[in-house]
Amino acid sequence: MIRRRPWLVLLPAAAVAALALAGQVRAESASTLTSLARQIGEVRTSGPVFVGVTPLAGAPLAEPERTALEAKLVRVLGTAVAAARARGEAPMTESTARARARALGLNLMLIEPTLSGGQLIVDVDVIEWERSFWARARKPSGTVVSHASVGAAADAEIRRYLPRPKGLLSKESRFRAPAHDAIGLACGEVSEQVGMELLVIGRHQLFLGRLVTAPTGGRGSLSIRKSALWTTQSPLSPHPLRAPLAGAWLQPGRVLVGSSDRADLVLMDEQLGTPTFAAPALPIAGDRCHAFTATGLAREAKPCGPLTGEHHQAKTAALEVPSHDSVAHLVEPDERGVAVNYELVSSKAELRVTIDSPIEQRRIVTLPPGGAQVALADLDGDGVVEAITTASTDGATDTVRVHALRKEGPVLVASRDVGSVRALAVCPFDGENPQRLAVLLTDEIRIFE
Amino acid sequence: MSDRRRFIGGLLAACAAGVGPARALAGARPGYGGHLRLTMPIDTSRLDPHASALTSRLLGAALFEGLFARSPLGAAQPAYPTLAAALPKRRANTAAIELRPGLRSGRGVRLDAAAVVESLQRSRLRSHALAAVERIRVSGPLELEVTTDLDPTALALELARPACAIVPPGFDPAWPDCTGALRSLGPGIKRLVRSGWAPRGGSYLDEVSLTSADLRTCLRDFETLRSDACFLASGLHQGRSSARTFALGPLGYVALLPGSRLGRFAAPGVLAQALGSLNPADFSALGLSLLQSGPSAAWIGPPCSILVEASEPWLVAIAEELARAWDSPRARVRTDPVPRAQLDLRQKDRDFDCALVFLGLTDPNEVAQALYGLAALPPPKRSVTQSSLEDAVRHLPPALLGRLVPHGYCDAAVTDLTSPGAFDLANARFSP
Repeated sequence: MIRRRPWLVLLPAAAVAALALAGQVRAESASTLTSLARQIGEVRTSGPVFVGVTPLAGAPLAEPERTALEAKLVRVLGTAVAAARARGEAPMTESTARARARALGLNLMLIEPTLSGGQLIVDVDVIEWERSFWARARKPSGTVVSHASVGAAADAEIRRYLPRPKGLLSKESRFRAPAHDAIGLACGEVSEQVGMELLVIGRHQLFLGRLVTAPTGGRGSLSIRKSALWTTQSPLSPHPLRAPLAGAWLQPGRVLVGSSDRADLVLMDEQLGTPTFAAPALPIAGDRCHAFTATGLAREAKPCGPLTGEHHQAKTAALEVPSHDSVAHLVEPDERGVAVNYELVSSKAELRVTIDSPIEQRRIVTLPPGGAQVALADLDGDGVVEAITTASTDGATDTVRVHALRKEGPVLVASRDVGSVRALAVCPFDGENPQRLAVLLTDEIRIFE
Repeated sequence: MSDRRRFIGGLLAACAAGVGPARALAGARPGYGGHLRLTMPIDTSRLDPHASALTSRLLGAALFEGLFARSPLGAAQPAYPTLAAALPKRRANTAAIELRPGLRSGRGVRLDAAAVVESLQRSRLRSHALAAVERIRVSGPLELEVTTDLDPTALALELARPACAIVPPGFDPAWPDCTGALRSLGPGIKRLVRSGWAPRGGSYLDEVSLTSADLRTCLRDFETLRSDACFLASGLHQGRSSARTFALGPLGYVALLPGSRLGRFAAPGVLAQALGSLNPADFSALGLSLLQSGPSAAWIGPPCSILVEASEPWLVAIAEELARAWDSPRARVRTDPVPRAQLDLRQKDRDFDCALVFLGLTDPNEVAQALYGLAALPPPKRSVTQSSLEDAVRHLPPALLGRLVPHGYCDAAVTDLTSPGAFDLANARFSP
């Protein structure tokens, strides 16, 4: 079964992006290859086998990258089978694998990886050889006694071998924003049937839809599939933020929206209906929220919920505690497949990324002072996470900056002057396309690649 | 999957050519924090948003919220709900107003319909607001009913006036429990901090310290960096280099009331005639634009003292300037600054020569009505405009001295400090 990684989403007026996966989900999605290897290891065999991995099908990779990725697939997937008595040390064709297995007198486990549409799909066949002469004559290629197909979205460990875009933020598309008062933006797949959509969070209304290009080639628009008035979802907060924050987390069948204007954190279905409520907070991931304080976001993340059918009743004043303006969180495997936690926080005093790896010392990267809109993503798929921030250029224009968080230190890899940035969102990696950066301006949404 | 492909295709095919950059509208999140210090020539020992006082006009909007607020120019609706959940709904000759749930004052007192009705009744007693409202009553835990002929929009605009700000039950101006972006710690409004129950969001500033002082001290404090703003100049001895100007717009009018001790000189028009002798330049330095433009005449009455509230240094300075202008060896004119309690008592008994008072009104009709009211006369029948105001009130015993239109200087690091006619402490902040 092909398992899809929940599309990340979100980003509030001030903030946030994350392809984050929390708790147990994090371990599962820490490395696509590790996860697939574990599933392949569970394929049953009746005896010792020879494991052969075929060359990677699908994605058009350049030669050095293809060789390196195939070697990694052989190393990781090929060693996952407990019953292996022998394995091919390099990728081999199916006929070669059969010949090697028969020569060794072992059954064959044939692993056929395909990288397509952003998914790494691995077909596994366990092939046994007939014992009698006549049976072997009838079935010279053996009998497939067991078959499995596993798959997962390609993560940074795999994407780093894909062709890279020529330049970050080099290509842009423009679309009319559905509201002038929007303060948050999220991107993700809510409905399997519809595909990837944008959620625009206004002060009065929510809009969910797809971006469509204008026939004339001019500015496109958001084709709204569903919209909802905030008043039907949640009452006004008794103590909102003067500088509002809003964000959302989208995943199939679930839209989790938080706005400092409102009394609740609201979970809706894919039609923006059947709302349930929790204490107001900004969702950074499916189960990672930051409560609102008197000035911004609480520094500590907490679970989003519990959700109930009743509106939240504020019993205390907004907390006057040190706060962040925005937070972005990302769990991304490094080139070794080790899950690394990234947290980017923006406050008046600092713009800082904390990088935690289970096998390395904590790294703290300080970025040049900037604005409140931040995001984290591996935009170009090179395996190095980028911090996306904004900075005010002249009081009227903001600059979107992209810093690659390299081991040797942050490097500014791209910057673009835009209008006044209200929110950022990272639209997830999809197929052969890199992740895209969605920027919400006063009256426009721009998509950068 | 095919839909997703179409989505991606749409993105890739989108053409950016020919589209100009979006107009920037300060979308970046303003920074919170900072401690603003203001030394001002106003009374900081009390604040009553329903009173016609300088402090109420200058700071009331930042510290108290109304049910509605005026929309910016060009908005579809002239007013929008703030403490109310929606614009008033018309029901026969009444209008129903629903409140937002969960509202509280800065000190945590619940603001339900009963509290709001009590506050509006208090406002009617103390200000000229809500004259067109016949009755206000509670019709539900979060709903009130207003009997009036005003249409919903006009009613919302009336309730958006600063004088209709909502105060919690048992409100004490000397220990004000605020309902706005800031709340007061301790007596008066000397120390303000961000309110955790602000219905439109707490202030950007962490704290505001207000010190009451005379104009000279205000200037000296600004010059020596002990205050972040001051009126009229950027320093007492030399200008502060980091200063930039601000203009507040009209705050209200300063009027002169005749008392019983003035005898026959308290007759209608006498004070107004005497005000024609003043030199506009002397008063413009105090932020006062004189109203009188008639033939020059000096004070011809007996020696007199000008009663003024001692806790209002700005008014005291204006009274002193007036006394200096009128003073002559034949008739000595002095100021008589007295505490507020004594002022109230003497005004009630009209036990003074003349009294200098501030009218926190800017609408010419309301100013004329207020002066007619002070003269115990029915209000004028004809509508009064800015240009006809002087003529409309010339024959009354009280006289309008002029309109207070202050300007001043603030530190260049302070942004959005002012809104028309008031200090906008809710939105003021320090630039990074």
